[in-house]
Amino acid sequence: MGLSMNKIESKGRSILLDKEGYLVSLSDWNQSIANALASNEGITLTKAHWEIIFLLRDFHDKFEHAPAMRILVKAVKKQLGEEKGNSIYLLTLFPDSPAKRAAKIAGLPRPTNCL
Amino acid sequence: MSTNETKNLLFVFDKPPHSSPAAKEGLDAILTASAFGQNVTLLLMGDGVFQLLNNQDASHLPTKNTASIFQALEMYGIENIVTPSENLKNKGLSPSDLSLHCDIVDNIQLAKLYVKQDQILSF
Amino acid sequence: MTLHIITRSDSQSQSIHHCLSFIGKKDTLLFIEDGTYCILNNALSDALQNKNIQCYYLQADLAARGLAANSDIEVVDYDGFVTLTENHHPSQTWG
Repeated sequence: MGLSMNKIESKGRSILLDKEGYLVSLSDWNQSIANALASNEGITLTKAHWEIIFLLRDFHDKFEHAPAMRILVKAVKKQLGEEKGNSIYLLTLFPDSPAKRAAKIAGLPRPTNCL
Repeated sequence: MSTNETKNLLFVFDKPPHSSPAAKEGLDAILTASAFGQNVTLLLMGDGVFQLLNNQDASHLPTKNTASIFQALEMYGIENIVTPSENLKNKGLSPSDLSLHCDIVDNIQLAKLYVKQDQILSF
Repeated sequence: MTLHIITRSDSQSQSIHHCLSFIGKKDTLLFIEDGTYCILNNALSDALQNKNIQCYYLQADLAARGLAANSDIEVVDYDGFVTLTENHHPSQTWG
């Protein structure tokens, strides 16, 4: 257990993050915290981002974990179709490592099997 | 990983849900193995078959709801889920009590399944 | 053929019974840790003998538990344990 905790400020509340920047308590999440988490990552959320964020949150509700990249692509393809269900599209929205960044902004734990 | 060698991996779960982290660890392992393109089979022995009982509600427990994670196996392309018929019978269960489709095997088929494996992992 | 490594006693875990339900003549059993307590279960020992299954017990674990080897069983030391795992494929450590 790392002791180095980060915080994020949103609407006068101070929300705890773990050392990798994920929410410590998943129930802290709301849309304004998502915006704050995103700007931490240098991302401004658009409608396209929200679509993925809500898809991820549904995935987590259903399957109790956040997916790594391959399964994220598969889930997006299944739900939103071919032109969004590919890594290039997801990389455009969430650069470098879409599965981790999108999960973080969606207020979910670190993706399982993200080695 | 640079290897393109596909192995037959058998994951044996023989513990019931909720009382130990075994299923969570096993699920992490099997999902990872399948993400790396390995040919995986899940064998539910003994109390392991309780992992798939319908209508589990672990929302009042502090642990992860592993029953939900099992529902993701299909999404991960894991379709080989096996349990011995004897096991279901001993526990008074039928396939309709289970949340996922299982291949019900007899002991001879089970022995054949073992012979095909490169690695066997127990959880 | 498969090496089944039993690590828990027959009352702690069903693993020895699970094994027995489908194990073949060419398979081998190795009892280590609390698995060595299985030696005390006569019905189990008889069943293993009837099935003609090769069984080994890890000496250090038998000794640590005050269990005595009898003439019917084979005992291995750690080197023997390693040799068994080398000579069998695959092996499964039942938890």
